[in-house]
Amino acid sequence: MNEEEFTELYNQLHRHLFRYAKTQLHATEAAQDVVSETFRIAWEKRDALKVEVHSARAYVMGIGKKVVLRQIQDRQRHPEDAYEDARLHRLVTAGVDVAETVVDVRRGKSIHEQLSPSDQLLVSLMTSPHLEASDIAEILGLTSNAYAVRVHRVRRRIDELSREYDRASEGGEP
Amino acid sequence: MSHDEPGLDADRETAELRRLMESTGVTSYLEDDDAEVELEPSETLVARLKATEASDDAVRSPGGSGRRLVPTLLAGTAAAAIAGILIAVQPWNTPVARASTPPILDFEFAEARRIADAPGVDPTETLEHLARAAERTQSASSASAVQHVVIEGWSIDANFDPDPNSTISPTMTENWLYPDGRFRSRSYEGEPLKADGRGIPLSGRLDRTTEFIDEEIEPVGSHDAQFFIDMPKSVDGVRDDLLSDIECLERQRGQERTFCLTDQIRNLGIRYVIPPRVMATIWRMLAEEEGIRSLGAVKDRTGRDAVALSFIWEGAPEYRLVLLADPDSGQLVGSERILIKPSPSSPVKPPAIQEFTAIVTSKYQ
Repeated sequence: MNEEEFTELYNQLHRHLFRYAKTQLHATEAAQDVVSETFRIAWEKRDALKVEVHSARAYVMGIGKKVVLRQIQDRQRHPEDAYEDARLHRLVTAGVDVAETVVDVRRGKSIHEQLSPSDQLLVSLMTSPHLEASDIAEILGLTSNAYAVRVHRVRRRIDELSREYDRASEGGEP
Repeated sequence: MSHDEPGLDADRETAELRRLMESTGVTSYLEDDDAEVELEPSETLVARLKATEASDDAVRSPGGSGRRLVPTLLAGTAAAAIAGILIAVQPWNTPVARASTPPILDFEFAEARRIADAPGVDPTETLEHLARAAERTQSASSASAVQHVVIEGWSIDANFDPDPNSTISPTMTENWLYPDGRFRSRSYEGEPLKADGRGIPLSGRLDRTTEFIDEEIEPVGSHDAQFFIDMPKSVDGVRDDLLSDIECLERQRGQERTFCLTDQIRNLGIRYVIPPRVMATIWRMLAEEEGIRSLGAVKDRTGRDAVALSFIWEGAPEYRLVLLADPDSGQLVGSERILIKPSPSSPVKPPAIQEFTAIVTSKYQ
């Protein structure tokens, strides 16, 4: 893989990888480190990427997942409450309608946290309008059929979790 | 993108999921302050990586190979060259596999080099043999016992290194499923596979040099510990329970149902101790399913005698799933997922192992 191809790969993937890492690590700097470390490894392997690897995108996201896992093992997680407080503070100072947005973000957070790590990666990729279904399937290493089934199941799961959240909210739990 | 399965279109499913993520706040949560964070531009990254590389090169000894620390000897056979396997001969050790993916096993009815298109044989006799062997095996199931399963596995997702000279080190995972549904899992780095793709010890290898990787604990009620213990005795009952658990979309006999069932067996066998009576019923159930073939006898990755059952799902013909069973006890002892056709969604070229699992221990404690 030459420099130009590597650069293109980076431009395609780095924001998605960052987003995924941030949701797993709950820390912006750590997520930036994940992106940096992932592409450092990919750079070292760039010769083999040309010859041995069929989908460089799937491979690089695979490295990213491993780097995230290592980060989780190597350090204490950033405290969740502090993370959320910092977010809410940013919303307030940005003049956002906090009450409504916070409910929305909290619901999203609750749902997201109950998804499996692989489903979390899938929904992270979903947030990019530039990635089509075939792109996401490739990055995840899935065939188109397996991808469709997987997305269908995630959809049902999110729907179910959302209803549970509503029920719990009515009961005053969250 | 369109699909063989009616009602499941990848583009439509993607659009629906995106809409649902918007309405439930998942997108808001993920995107919240994302745009404010600046990430390193590609030009800076590449320049930095080049500078680091130049610096590393400068400190390497002249004439040294740099990354290669182990003396290697090319296996000079055409077969090894085709397989892309290099064998490193270490005077103090047995040769280990050096390749990007684990060597493919030779099966009685499908040699490794023919794994992509070997049709296999009718599995009826093999499945009945396994069912009878399982029935003869003494059951030790207990609702109050802890289910202890130790596996060794390798997968493209977790372990792949594109360097063709890399060693293949499976991850050893020890799982405990408690009667109250708690699940605990500890992972360790295993030793490299041998050149023939085997070498996993049945005794486990937890000693002082074993590198701990990770531990996960799932809370009370996260699993149904009685899932197999409470299972019906009939073939139909077992099938229904397996399909319901995975929320399989297809209940009629056919490729999709076989896919759901084989996937279930593979996934559940690494977490649960499957009682012999249930295992016997599972083999008889598979005899009724579409698309199962026997690949015959094989020495699995621990060196045990096993028999192999294969399934290629029409929905993903790039992959061949192989279930491995002990012909003496009728128990599931592992599985292999093999890439047999080029796939835009796989990072490797076929034929190649996509993932494998060897069940080293499966018993009640």
